[in-house]
Amino acid sequence: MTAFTVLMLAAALAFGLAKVLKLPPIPLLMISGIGLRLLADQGMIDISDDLLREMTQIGLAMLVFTAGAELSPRRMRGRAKPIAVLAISQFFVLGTAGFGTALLLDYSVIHALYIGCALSASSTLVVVRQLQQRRQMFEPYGRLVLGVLLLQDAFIVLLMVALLKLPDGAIASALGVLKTMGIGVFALGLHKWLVPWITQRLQLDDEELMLGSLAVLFTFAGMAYLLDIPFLVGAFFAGFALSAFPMNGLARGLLGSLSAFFLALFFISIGAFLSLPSLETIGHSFVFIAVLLVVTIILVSIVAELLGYSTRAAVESGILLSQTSEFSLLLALTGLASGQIGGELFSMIALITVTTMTLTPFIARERIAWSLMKIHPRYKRGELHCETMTDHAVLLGYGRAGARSIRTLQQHGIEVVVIDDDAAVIRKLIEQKIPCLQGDGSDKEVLKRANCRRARVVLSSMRRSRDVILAINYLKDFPAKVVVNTFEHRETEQVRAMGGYPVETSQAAAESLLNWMEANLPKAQEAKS
Amino acid sequence: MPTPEIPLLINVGYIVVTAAVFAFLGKLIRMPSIVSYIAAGILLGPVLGLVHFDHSLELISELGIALLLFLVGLELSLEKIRDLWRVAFILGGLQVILTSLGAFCIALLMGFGTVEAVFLGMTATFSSTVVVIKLLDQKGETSRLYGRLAIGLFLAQDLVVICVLTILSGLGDQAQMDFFGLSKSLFFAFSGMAVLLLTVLAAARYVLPQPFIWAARSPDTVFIWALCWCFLVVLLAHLFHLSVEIGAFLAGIAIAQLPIHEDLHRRLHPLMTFFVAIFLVTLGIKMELAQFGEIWLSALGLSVFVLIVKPLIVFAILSRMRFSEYTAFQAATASGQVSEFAFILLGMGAAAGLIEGNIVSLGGLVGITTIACSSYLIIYSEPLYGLFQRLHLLRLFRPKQEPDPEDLRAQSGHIIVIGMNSLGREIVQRLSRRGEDVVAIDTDPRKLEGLAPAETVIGNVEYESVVREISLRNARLVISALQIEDANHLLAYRCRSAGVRCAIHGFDVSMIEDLLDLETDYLIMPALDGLVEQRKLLQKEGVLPT
Repeated sequence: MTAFTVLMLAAALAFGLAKVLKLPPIPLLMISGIGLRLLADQGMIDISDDLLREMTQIGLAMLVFTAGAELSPRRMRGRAKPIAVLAISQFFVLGTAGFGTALLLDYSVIHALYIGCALSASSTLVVVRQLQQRRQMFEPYGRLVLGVLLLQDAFIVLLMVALLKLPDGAIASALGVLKTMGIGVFALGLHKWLVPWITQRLQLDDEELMLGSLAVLFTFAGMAYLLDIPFLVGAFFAGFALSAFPMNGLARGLLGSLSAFFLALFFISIGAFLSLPSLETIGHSFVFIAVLLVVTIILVSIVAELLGYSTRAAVESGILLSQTSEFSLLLALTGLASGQIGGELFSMIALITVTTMTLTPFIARERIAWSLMKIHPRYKRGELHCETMTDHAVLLGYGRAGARSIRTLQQHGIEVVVIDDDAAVIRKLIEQKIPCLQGDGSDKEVLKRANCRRARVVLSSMRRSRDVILAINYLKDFPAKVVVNTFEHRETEQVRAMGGYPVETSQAAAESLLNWMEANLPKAQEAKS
Repeated sequence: MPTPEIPLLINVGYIVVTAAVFAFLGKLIRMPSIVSYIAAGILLGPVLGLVHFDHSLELISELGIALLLFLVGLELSLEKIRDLWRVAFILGGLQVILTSLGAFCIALLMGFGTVEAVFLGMTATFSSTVVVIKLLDQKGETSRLYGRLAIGLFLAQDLVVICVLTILSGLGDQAQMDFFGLSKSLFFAFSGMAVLLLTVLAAARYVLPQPFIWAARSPDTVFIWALCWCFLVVLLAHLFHLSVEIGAFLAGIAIAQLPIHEDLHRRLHPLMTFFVAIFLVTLGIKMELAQFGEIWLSALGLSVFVLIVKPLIVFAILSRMRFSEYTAFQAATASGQVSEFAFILLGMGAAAGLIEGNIVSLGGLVGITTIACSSYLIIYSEPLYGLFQRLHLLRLFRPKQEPDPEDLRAQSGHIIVIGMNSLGREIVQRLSRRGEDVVAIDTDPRKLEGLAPAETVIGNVEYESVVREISLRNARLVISALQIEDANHLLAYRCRSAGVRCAIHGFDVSMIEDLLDLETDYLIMPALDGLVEQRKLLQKEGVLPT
């Protein structure tokens, strides 16, 4: 119990620091683990390797199980093509870049393969946390990124089996992949038919749901073990089998606590197993990190934009995906356990993972995305010259509702010009022959170019209130009415105080809901009487 | 370095899969899950020999016990404890004396020697905190008066157990055999208890509130911190030779004084369920079946005493203390089994050479039998009480017939609003102005501030326990302002299953089809409503013709 309490204390410290420093907890948990190892080596605390090993094993199983449980095909519905294209291109281009760089740095082919695979996937845990913090989980690009991550996890599981069996020959390797796919097909069957049937027919309580889910995990892990492939493969597909709606939702809350608990202990234990890398290895790590950052950001930005996403979404996707995955650690750990790689390479992959995960919150800032967007070539051809326009409407930001607003205004014979700083949005508008200008809606020069001083109305759907304030400040001396879509009550008051006309969407939605209730739901007193 | 051997995973795998299969089969014949788990353990251990109780399983069992008691503590405010402690000590003291004497006499009558009878008397006296709390939790009645009385009784028993274990370890260790050594150990244990209590109360008031409020918006941090706090106090208790149960219980009480205790309780609950299930299976694994033929008759006699006489003693005491017939009956029913401590106690007696191995096996068999039977009694205590009432059997003890005052909250006809972003808050305020009975939910306590007169609940609606707590089934309408697609889908699904109307935030066009498939009654679409509002404004300001 003492050793276990020490592990919990290290985890508590790591989570506290992660909150103070606004970093993801994974790297700090691993650093806590390294600290524990140092204390144990000096005899200040006593933590047995057996305990760490057991926590690693259970943590691994929970990690891949949880990842599999998020792999619901439902999430990718309607986006299967862009997700598949982006996931495959990032996985293979980045993997090849990592493999090539490793060969150039004199690593053996098998080690280069491990490095390439480790670099090729991004971290679901880190990216989901970032998206949640920014409330962008369910924006189009958030969905794209999530889909890509989940497919990459599946790729890395398959590759892990192929790599592990490689020393036994190509046939053994292919057989391993086939067995893995067999388990995958079995899991698909359960996912499609049995799990929905069980959810519909049996009224399972929390305890039965959790125990049943864990029983599926251990049954699949046992199947994998019997088929002589890593038990993690079974754990992953067990998660996939349970990812069918509504089972995934019902079990998520229950398994969430278990996985949070074991994952914290897992990353600490991994940290405690790390050895200090040599200076040369540290140097190599930085080379691989540079390759990872440059290739991911450029590649993902280009491919995502080609797939129809806005420049901002494409650049933000590239930045968000620029770290290695917890599955990279898993791959390295499996390679280490099988003797295919040594402690030094394991530590290097761990160092790359810790560094890139730590970097993510710093580079995934809006400011960096905006500055990268400015590098993007402009689609000047087709931009409108508005100097002669009068009594027109100007849209600051195309947004989700832009098309509808334009239609309404044009129906009433009002000319419209859209200002947006997203190159891909501008390209689409030019294609649709909608008058537009590329630029920042809060920039005086851009507003001048749109001849706002002679406009009848300016409609803003810009997200940042700072931009809105700048635009209103410029426009307040002109006759144009400035109508601003606001999201918070505070913003509404601010816009009104500055002479703008706020449209608070939440108030409008609440009003509509209450109108519906008036018509369809009797008031509380009436219902009681 | 990690190796491919995975003994713990294999053991846990066997335990989880077998427990799940037994629980599923047990459900078909309405068997309490505890009985299924113990039966699974008997199959895995004594029958098939697939799993052996080792250090890792022992650690997992201890974690389960600690978490269970931590959760019990989490539900107790200081006011509730003040109400309880006097009753617990009177009830505990009388019950321990009367039950141990009764069982001692029965054992003598069965032909056991004096020392053996003393051990069997002690075995019959203590009830299983873990088993009873697990069952009360399953019934959702840990916070009922009878549940709190039972928990108070068992914690008072724990103090007696500490004395007995201290004496027994003294008997095992000749160096501490003298009166002075034993007194010193007992003094150490009780002063440790006082230190622990003071530490916990001081922490609850001065140390814990600020950090936990600071971390409240990061549920994972709060979760890990609470666990860390629990195990630190358990460790402190261990230093004073106190039980894991007492340490974890006190740690829970400290956290119970913080506003986030309810959400923490829900988040910790699945973890506890997992560990306690393993603990219960290991009870079966540890069973010795070899001497079953020799001891079954004695086991039967003692089991009958534990299942019938012991609850009668508790019932008589509580009736005398002027608790209602219902409360006394339910609390008494909960006491009819042997504690897992009995196994430790008997093991120590055997190690000290005071009793033979067959007494240890007998204690084990009585333990398993009474735990299994009392699980049925506790789960079906309501119909059982109805039967006793009809037969007027309880009138002999002249219990109070008026029910005890209890705050039983059962909501209906209310409107539940989930997610206190600007949309959620706006809806709550408008509904309150409309005179509705509103329950507002969010995981962030700060977002729930200033919403009076609406009732507020900190929690995540993905948990079934939250759904129960907010009485979703009895609600008139459920509204989700959340921008979390999965949570919204699940809510729509739960509402459809419960036949409750729902209005869900369809913040993205891509989720509308799914929400309509789930028969959502109303889709909240701020972007669209904003456009309508914008159009009205443009017309009002003369930009567009009316």
